[in-house]
This record gives sequence, C-alpha cells and structure tokens, in this order.
Amino acid sequence: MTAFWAAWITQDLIQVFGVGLFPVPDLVLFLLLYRLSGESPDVIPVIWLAVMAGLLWDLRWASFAGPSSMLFVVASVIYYLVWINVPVAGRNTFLALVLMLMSQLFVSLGRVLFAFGKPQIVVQFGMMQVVLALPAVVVAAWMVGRNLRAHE
Amino acid sequence: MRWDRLPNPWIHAALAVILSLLFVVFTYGGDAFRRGSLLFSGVLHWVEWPAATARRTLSTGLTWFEDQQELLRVNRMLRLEVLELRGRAQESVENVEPELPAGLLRARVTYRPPERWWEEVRVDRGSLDGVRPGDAVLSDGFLVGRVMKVASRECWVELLTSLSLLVPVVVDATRDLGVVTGTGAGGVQLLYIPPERELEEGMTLSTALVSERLQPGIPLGKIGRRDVSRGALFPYEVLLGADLSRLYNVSLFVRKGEKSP
Repeated sequence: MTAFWAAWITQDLIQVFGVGLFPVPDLVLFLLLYRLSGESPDVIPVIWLAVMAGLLWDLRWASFAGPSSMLFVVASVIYYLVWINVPVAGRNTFLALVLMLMSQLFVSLGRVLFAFGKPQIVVQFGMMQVVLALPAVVVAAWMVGRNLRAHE
Repeated sequence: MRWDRLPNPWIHAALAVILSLLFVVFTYGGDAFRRGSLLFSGVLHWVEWPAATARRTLSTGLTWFEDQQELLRVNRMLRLEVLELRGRAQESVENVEPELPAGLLRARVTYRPPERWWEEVRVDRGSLDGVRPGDAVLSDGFLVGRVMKVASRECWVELLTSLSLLVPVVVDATRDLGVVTGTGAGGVQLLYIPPERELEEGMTLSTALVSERLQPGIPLGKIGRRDVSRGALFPYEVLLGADLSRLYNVSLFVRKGEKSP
C-alpha cells in the first residue's frame, strides 16, 4: 500500500510540475501491472486499487470521475489476461515492457477520448505519453524480469 | 455477500468497470464533484508544494529568458529603425529647400516641348497659387522668363531665349536702358542701346522699372561681346546668369495678397 501511495503522489507531483508542458506517465498503472506480473498475483486487490487510483486521479485532475479508474481496470485486466496466457518460458522483461507500453497507450488514448479530443490530438498525446513513460516502463519491466529470475 | 468473497476476479473487474461508469454518469458536470475536487486539491496543497514551487521557478526563469529574448529582438528592431530614421532625417536635411523671399513661389518644370525648347516651359504652379500672367520667373536668383498663360494649377513660362519676349533692362553700371530678347536658338541679345554708348563686357543687367508686373532690379546676367550692328540695332550678347539649357526648378515672383482672377 505504501508503494501505491508513493507512486500516486509521485505521479501527482510530476503532473503538478509538468501540467501544460508534457503528459505525465501513469506510474500507478505500472505499479499495478508490476503487481500482476508475479507467479500467482492477487488480482482482486489490484483491481480495486486501480479503481481507487483512477478515482483519486480524476478527482484531482479531471472534471468528472470514472474514466481513469475504468481505463486502469480494463488495462490491468487485459494485461493480466495476456500475461497468464503466455507460457511461463515466454514471460520476460521484453514482454512486460511491450505490454506496459501498450497499456499506457490504451489509457492515454482512452483518457483523451473521454475529454472529447480530436483524433489527431489524441494520437499525438498518446504517443507523447508513451515516449515519456518509457523510462518508467523500462524500470518496471526490469523489476518484473528480476522477479521472474528470482523465482526460477 | 461481501465483495472480497466473490470467487472470480472477473466479477470484480466487471463491478469495477460498472462502478467507474456510474461515477462518470453521476459526476459529469456536477457541482458536488467540483466541490470535492476543490477539497481534495486543498488537502494535497502542501504535498504538492515542492512541485508547484519548482514549476513556478521554472516558469519564472523561462519567462525571464523569453523576456530577455524579446527585449533583444525589440532592441535590434529599434536600432535598425533608428538607423533608418537617421538616414531619412539626413536625406530630408539635405533636400530641404532654402527659405524663399516673400512673394517667391518654388515651382517645378513639368514639361518643356522639344520643338520649342528655347521658347517656353510649363511649371506646376497656377492661379490657385497666386500666379498671374507677366510674373517674373527666376532660376538661381536670375530672371529666366515671364509667365505667359496661367491655368488653375499650372502655367506656361516664356523664356528669355524666346524671340517674342521683350524684357526692358537697365545696365547697372551706366543706368542705360535697353531691351533683352532671345535669338530663338538659345542666345539672348541686348538691344536698343544708343550707338554712342560703349558698354563693357561683364557689366551686369537687371530688370528696369517699366512694368507693373515685372519687378525692377531682378538680375539677368552680364553683357558679353558686341555683335555686328543690324540697321538701327546695336546688339550686345547677353550672358545669362541662369543656365536655361538645364531648367528643372524655378521660382515665380508673385505679388503677395493679390488674388488671381
């Protein structure tokens, strides 16, 4: 839970610093996805943490609540579905990295669509957020890989 | 049934999505959500303070940098403008026309017919400027002709080199009276000087007091050599003070206070 709050507040601080300048990467989402990448992840708490993280984010940075929580939940579930359907031998750092980037893109596009953005702006914003999220995703994917190696 | 006893995580996921959608529906455009958002922002105020301060500092720095750039740009533009204005001021000072004596109107020659090159010119002053027929026309302070025809905004000037223009003059040194007229080919002659008078080359000529419109004392030029006498005429060559071959600007000697008809 501490890690959850730390990630949420860090994301909030980055947003405060960079609002209007650059889209902030969804660090909480990467934390949730990292939690889902274990051998036998506890999915249900992750789902409700996603709901809480999204609601709080929307409460702080959106004009209505719900979009972020829904996108976080859907992204987490899709990530989990793909992850558990890949053979254990295929689960590695690169897979986690790709899936996390795709999840970030999904959340970015969905969030901007909820704000009734124009398609061109939505794509630009999404791609920019993915690029900016790359360092955080690399770290998260590296942690996933390290956990996987620890269990082997 | 308690939520944590639901066996299947997919049910939790579905419930979470439904709950999120309900939040979307019930908070969209609602005041309660706005109030909650403001309250939450207030709670986070101190947590966010470092980031907000860093943001403000960065913004101030960027603004200062942009202001400096803008100042430099404006400064560069103003320097160029100053240089341009200095150039223009210098040019206008160089082109400033000397103040004319009272009654003198500066005029520009607008047309000089080639077939009557030594006869007449047209200038851009007319009756609206107070010009009347007979007014003296000067160039470089010397008489070059008289106004012949006047329109509202322009007039025709008959030149001293014209055969038909006769101007009474006086020899300044001897007070002898004579008449100056043109040869029609660019030359000017002094006529009607008594044959017993021996005038020397270089004596100056000026207009004589014999006309209402032509002011006396306007210089014309100097006497040149004496020509061969033709009958009762004992002509002298006149060296005009003004250069009639290049006549671009002239001055019209108009009577002040007189209204044109």
